[in-house]
Amino acid sequence: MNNLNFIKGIVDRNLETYIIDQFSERGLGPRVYETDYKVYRIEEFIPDLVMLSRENMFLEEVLDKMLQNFAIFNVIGDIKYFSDKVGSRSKSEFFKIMLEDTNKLNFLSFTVNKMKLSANNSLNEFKKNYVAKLAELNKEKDIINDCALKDRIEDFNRKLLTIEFYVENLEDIFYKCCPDQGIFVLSHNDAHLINIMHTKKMDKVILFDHEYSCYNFIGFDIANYIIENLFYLADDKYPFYKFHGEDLKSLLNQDFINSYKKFFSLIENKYYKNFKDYPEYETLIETAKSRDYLMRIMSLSSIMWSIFAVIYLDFESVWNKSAYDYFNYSFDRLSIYDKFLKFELKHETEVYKILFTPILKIR
Amino acid sequence: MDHELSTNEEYDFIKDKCLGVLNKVIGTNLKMNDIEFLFNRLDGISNKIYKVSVKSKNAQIVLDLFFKFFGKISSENFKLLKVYLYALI
Repeated sequence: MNNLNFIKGIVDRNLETYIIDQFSERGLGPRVYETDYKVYRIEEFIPDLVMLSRENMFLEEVLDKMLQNFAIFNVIGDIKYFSDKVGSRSKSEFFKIMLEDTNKLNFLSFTVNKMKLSANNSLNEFKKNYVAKLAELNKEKDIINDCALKDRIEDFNRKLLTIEFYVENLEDIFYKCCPDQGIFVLSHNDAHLINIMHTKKMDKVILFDHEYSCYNFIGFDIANYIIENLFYLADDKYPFYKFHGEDLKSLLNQDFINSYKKFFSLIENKYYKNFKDYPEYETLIETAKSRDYLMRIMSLSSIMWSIFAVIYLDFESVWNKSAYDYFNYSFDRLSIYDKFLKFELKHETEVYKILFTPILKIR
Repeated sequence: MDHELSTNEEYDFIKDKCLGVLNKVIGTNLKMNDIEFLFNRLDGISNKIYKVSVKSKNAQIVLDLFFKFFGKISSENFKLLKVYLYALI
């Protein structure tokens, strides 16, 4: 539970309210009637909305409105205030822009270092409880001859080692995935099925929950939306989410790439004026439309949300299967990069050689 | 969904704030005794969320609101129940 205090500390309610207001003014979301920015917020209740389903995510009438939502997110307010051209800055500076709290521009007031530290603390606590559980089980049961339990522990170990590896090497992997150039824009970052609702006629598609909004690479939201096609995060039974891991390789199919490119067509056709003051705009947009760039920001999405899940980890609920399984979610989210994109990006590097040295043995 | 409210203090706080919003939005000057409240609560991962229906006792004025406490953890239910409760209640 302590880790939730970390999350609490990163949400900028002023900016969140500003975003809700901006969408409301465009008839694309609820009004904020009142808030004190600290304790509560009262919003307009919008009746008769239904949650978006996986099947409907890429219907033209839904996709077009989602792309519109993403584009508005990118350009609301003064574009000079909410976006920055990265140009030739170093990758370490990218993260200053993306993750550090600078002049109220970001929700996420943490650096990649802070994120790693928090994930490390959470993971260490998780491992400590896991080791204690193993010791307890060893006393009670013959683990070696209990096939189901043995399999479960081996599966647990394998996943734990993978997650641990990524937390340990977070900065290197993040930098490695990061595009070399890009435009930073205010982004929602968390556009998954249960944060999106629509009217039954699909004439309105509303994007909710702006708590994780911050600067990010342009195109991140549509790339992340494509990834979210693999997940449903509110299943009613353990592990309380669904992951369509069998469809991993579909992420780069032509339909999804076309959806991604359609977003940039919208930016170029409708929001050109918001970007035209940047001399390198056209080059950077061209870069952002590339397959390589798409794979990189998909990788960032995979790793970022996996690490967030680590921060939320709670051993007892995972082991007892009593609540949302952030452990498996973290692993599954990671697998988008670890089992697919890293090969596409030719990232199968030396660092992986040290993986799978068992640190938690059954006996 | 039917949930108990956590505390009377919280209940009174929400009523007070929602009455203020009702009067501001509708342009009325109703008092606490003039209205009824219907609460539905779901807990999000880091927020306590209510749908609050405020109506005058003659039911001529009805306003549905969405009330969100920030950062309160009050449930062991870690399913990502956040603003999508719009659909659930």
